Amino acid sequence: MDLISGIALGLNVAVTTEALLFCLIGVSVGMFIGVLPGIGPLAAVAMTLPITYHLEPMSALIMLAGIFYGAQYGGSTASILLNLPGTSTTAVTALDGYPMAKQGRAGVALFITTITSFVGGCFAIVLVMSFAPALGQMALKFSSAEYFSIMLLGLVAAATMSLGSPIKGLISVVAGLLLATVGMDSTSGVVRYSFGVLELQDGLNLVAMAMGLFGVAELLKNAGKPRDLAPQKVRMRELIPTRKDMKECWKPTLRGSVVGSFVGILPGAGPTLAAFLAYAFEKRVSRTPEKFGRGAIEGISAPEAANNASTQAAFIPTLALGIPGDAGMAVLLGAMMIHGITPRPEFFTTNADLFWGLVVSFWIGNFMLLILNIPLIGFWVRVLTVPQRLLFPAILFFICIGVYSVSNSPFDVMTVIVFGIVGYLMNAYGYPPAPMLMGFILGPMIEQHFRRALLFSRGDITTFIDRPISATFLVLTLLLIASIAIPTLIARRRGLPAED
Amino acid sequence: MKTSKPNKHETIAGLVWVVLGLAAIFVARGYAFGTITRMGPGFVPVMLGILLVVFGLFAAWQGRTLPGVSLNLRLRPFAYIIVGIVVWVLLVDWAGFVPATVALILISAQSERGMKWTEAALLAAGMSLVGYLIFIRGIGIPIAAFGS
Repeated sequence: MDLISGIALGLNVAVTTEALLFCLIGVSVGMFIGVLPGIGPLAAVAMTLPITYHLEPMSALIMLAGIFYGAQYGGSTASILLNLPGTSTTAVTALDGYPMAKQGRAGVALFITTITSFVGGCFAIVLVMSFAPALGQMALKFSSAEYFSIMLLGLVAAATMSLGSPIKGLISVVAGLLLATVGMDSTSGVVRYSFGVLELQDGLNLVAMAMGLFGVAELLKNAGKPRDLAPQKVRMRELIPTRKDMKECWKPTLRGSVVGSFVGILPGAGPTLAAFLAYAFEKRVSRTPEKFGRGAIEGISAPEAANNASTQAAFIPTLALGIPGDAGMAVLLGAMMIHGITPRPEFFTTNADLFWGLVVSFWIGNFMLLILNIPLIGFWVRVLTVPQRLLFPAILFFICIGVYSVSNSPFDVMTVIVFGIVGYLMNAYGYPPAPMLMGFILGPMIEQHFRRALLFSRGDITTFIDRPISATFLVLTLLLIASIAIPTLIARRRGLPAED
Repeated sequence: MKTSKPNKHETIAGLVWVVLGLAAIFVARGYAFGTITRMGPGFVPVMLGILLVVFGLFAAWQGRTLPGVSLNLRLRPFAYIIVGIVVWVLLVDWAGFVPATVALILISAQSERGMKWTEAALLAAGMSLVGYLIFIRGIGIPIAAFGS
C-alpha cells in the first residue's frame, strides 16, 4: 500500500467521533499525568489499561498512544516551572528550562518546548509512515532465530542503556524473564512456579505488575515527602519568543528530532536516553557551550524535540517487529496482545486500517496537544499545585479499582502491593524496574522463539550465527556489552575508581 | 538515599538476587529439563536462574566499593498506603464498593501531612461517585455498591 492511499485509509478510520474522542481523552490524560511530578506515563497507561479492555482495539490503541506522547508534552511544564521533572524523559529540560523561568522567561520556555515537541513528533511520524511498513516487509523473512536475536538485543539494550548501573539493569531483565515463566508453559502445558496457587496458573497479571512497579512504588517513594510547590509565574503576553529565540532554536530542534528518531528506532533505547543524548550533542556542537545550564534556548529545544521524536519513532520497531523500544512501548505491546493483535510483519497488510488509523491519530493528537498547551498554560500551572494529599489517595483508588476490574480478582490487587514494595526497594537500591517489565512482557515470546529455533535446527546452536541477520543482531549485542565492560575494565586496571 | 561511605547494603542486595536465582533453579528441578533440541519446561528457567546467580554475584562484588545506600524508610506514610489497599481488597467483596473506597481514601489520606477530615470525606465521596459511574455503571464490573 502506498503512502497516499494509506493516509486516506487512516483518515477514514481516525476521523470518526469515537476515535477523535478517545484521542482527545488520551492526550489530555497524558498531558495531565505528564504535568504532575512523581507519576509518569507508565503508571498512567497501566491505570487506563483496564478501561481499554472494554473498548474497540482501534480506540484503545489511539488512547493509550495519546497518553504516551501527551506525557512528553506535559512533562516539560513541571521541569521548567518547578525544576522537578514531570516525567523522567524531561529531566534534562529542567537544566536550562528552570534557569529560563527564573529569568522571567518561563512563558517563552513553555512555548518553545511545545513547538519543538510538535516538530520532533511530526518528523518522527513521517519516518513511521515511510519506514515501518518497509521494515515489516523485510521482517517477513525472519524466522525464530532472528526474532530471538533481535529480542535479545532489545533486552540487553534496555538493561544497559538506562542511566544507572548496567549490571543492575541486566539483573532486572533476567528477573523479569523469570517472572514471565510463572504459569502454564505454552509448549508443554506444564504449570511452572505456581506453588499450588490457582491464580498463578495463568501467570502474573501485567496490569497488576505495571501498576505496582510504577504506580504504587512511586507513591511509596514520594509519600510524606514535603514538597515545595511554588511554580514560577507565567504571564500570557510573555509567551511569544523573540525573533532571536526562534533563530537560535530551529537548528537544535531539527538536530534533536534526528537524534530522537534514531534512538527511538533502536530497540531498547527510549526517550529518556534520547533527550540526554540530544542535550549532550547540542552542547558539543554549540559555539557557546558555557551558556548551557544558564538558560540556553538550545538546551531546551533539542531534548524536547528528541524525546517526542523518540516516543513516536519507537512505534517503528514496536509495530513492525513486535520489539518495544522501552518499557512504555512494552506495555502498549501488552495492551495490543490483550486485544488479540500481535504486531508482526503481517500487521501492515492484515491490519492496515489499524496501522494507518493509528498513525493519522498521531498527527491529530499532536495538533490537539499544541492547542491544549499554549492557550491553556494557566490551567496546567494550576494542575501543578494540586496538593499531594488529594492526589495520592485518588491515584491509589484508581489503581485498586483498575486492577480489580481486569478479572475481578482480589488476588491481582494483592499482587500490586507486592510489586509496589518490590519496585520501591529496587528504586532505593538503584535497580531500574523498567527493564524488568520489558523482560516480563517479552519473556514468553523470546522463550518460544529460542526453543523453536533450536528445534528447527535440530539442536544446532550455530543456527543463530549462520543466519546473517540474526548474526548481525548478536554482534550488535556483543558490541553493546563490550562498550560497557571495556571502559570499566580499563579504568580498574589503571587503578581508577569504577564508574558508579 | 545515598550516603558517601560504602556499606554492606549493595552487597546484600546482590546476594538477595543470588538467593532468588538459586531458589528458581531449585524449584525448576521439578520440571523436565529436556535436551537442547527438545527443551522441556525446565530448561529456560534453569538457564535464567544461573544468569541471575552470576549477575547477582557480580553486583555483590561490585557493591563493595559503591557508595552505600541507606533506606531512609518513612514508615508511617508507607504503612498507611499499604494498609489502605489491603483494607480495600478485604472490604470490596464483603461490604461493597462504596464502603471499601471510603475506607481506602480515609486511610491513605493519613499518609500526607496536613490532611483535614472534611477534605478527606469530600474526596472519598467524589471518588466513590466517579468510580461508581465509570466502573460499575459504565464498564459493568460485577460488584455491588453496598453489600456483597
